[in-house]
Amino acid sequence: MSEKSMVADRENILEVKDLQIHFFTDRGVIRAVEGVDFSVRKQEVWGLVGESASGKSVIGQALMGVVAKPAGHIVSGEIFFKGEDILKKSPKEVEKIRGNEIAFIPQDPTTALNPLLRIGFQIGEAFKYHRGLKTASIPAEIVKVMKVVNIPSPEQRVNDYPHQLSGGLKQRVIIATALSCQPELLIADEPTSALDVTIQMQIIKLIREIQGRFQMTMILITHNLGLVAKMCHRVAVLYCGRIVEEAPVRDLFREPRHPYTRGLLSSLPKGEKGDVELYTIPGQLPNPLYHPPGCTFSPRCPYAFEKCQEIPAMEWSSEDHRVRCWRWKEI
Amino acid sequence: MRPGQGTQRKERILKLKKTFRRIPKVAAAIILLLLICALFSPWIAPHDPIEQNLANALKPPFWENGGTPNHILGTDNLGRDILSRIVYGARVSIIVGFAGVLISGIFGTFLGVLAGYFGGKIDAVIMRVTDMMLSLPYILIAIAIIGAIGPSLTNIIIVLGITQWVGYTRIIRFEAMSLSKSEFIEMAIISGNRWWRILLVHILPNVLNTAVVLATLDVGKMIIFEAAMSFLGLGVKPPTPTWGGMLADGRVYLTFAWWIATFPGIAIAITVLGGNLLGDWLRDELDPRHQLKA
Repeated sequence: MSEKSMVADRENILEVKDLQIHFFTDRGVIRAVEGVDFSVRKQEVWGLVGESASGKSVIGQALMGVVAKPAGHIVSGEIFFKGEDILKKSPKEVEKIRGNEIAFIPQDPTTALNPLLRIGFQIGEAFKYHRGLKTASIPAEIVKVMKVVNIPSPEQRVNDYPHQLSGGLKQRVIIATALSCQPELLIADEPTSALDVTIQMQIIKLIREIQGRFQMTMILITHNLGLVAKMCHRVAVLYCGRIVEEAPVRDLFREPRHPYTRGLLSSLPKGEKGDVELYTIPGQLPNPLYHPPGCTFSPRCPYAFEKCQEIPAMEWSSEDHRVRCWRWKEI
Repeated sequence: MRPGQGTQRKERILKLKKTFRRIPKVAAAIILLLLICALFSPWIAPHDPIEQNLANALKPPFWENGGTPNHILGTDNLGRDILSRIVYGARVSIIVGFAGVLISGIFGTFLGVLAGYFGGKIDAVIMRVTDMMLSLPYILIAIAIIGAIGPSLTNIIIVLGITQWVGYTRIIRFEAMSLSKSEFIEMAIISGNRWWRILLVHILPNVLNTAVVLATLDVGKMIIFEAAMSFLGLGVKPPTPTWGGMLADGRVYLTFAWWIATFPGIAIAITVLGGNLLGDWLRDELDPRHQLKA
């Protein structure tokens, strides 16, 4: 608890204002991210949870400046990293930040490594470009960073190809690549969803340990609420490209304000014995091409009333807790 | 645990040996035979390939009635030794086959990677040009170009280069497209690679397998294309012996002198087979995932 309140006083390392990302497809415009605001404080672990297709990965890509072209466009918004808007920077300046000061751990380690290149080479690329190291000194650095992520016998492993490694080891290689330049901000996009449960624990432990050791700020993008509870200081819930609620982890789990967050939390198994049917939120995600007017959750919301045809404003329910719902006081 | 320098070298030699052992023997033998024929034709061929002897015309192979051991595979309508012409013809076939494939393959792969990776306008322009090339019969383009610059070996290769790259571009573009959306390319961008390095180091090696397979299949196509051009009188000028030219010449005599067209046909078929087998092996060899099997 004390650690978490400490974090509250820190300054912001990242501020995102009114971010809108649209995908222009043949069938119409997909509004993947519709006006997202948030800020992340130095050295905190900030969680971003949401269902598949809620736009969470797209936000991660936008922060890295790799939104899928040619369909994807950042329509509006500002992303301030250490006080400077990275969307206004030139490609060369972005190159200096991306991978260097902001690092990225992708979802699936099996597709994130080039199958034809040795892993040492792939870890080394970042050293070469971002830290400008001489070729001769790179191998030693690679081994060093591989040791940090606990890859056994790194001297021999550097010459392995990705297919010779297990999923967990591949994810360690990815983490090593992300760490190679000692970034200040680490964005982890579902770092464990492609791994099996025992390996997930190891990787989570590793990421946590590294986050603490290098005092990194971290954005954890996930749909796993258990992971959020374990790792994050604050968490934002995303639904259809909008943040519907943001709060310190403890508050969110104790007093969820938004009906969607409540739905999510009550769909978690609670450890009852026997056959207990899990709660499910009625309905399904709306078609991404035709979001319902007003509050996007209203068609599935048990508390919906006429006013939900208008988009609710974000309101602060307490000092650090905000929610986007017309009726949060009542429910 | 760390292996010393000595063992590392031994391992490398062992690996080389293994690689060598995996080369398909039949394919290697065919290609080697072809190369030897092309390089040392004056010493291998029993006769001068363009020397005519009308008294000796249309002699069947030696095992047929009327054949002589002097002309093992018989003679053509002008009394030229078929075996010698096939041996000399390997030169043209090899040059046309490999040079044509090399030029069109490199050019086509390069354009395909560009179109697939960048997409958008670059892709649109390149793809419209390939559509244009595909919609025109290549023989027509070839006739137009050869008509303008005259028939010769170099010009045939130029024509092949200009007309045959389209297939590579189409297929490689598709592969490059799906690759450029993959996460490891995203990671490579994040690691600070510039676009040209992404193309060269990350995308090109991944499409090379496909390009190599296409190329080996194309070697045969090139040889046959040269044959067609020679048949139309737009290829290598007679009397230089070419397999395609021999095939064309022998067509008229097929009913009573089958050997004139058959033996160069067999030579083409065997060469194409050798190329394909070697291509299969090369494709596997270029993929590190495959080496586990060794």
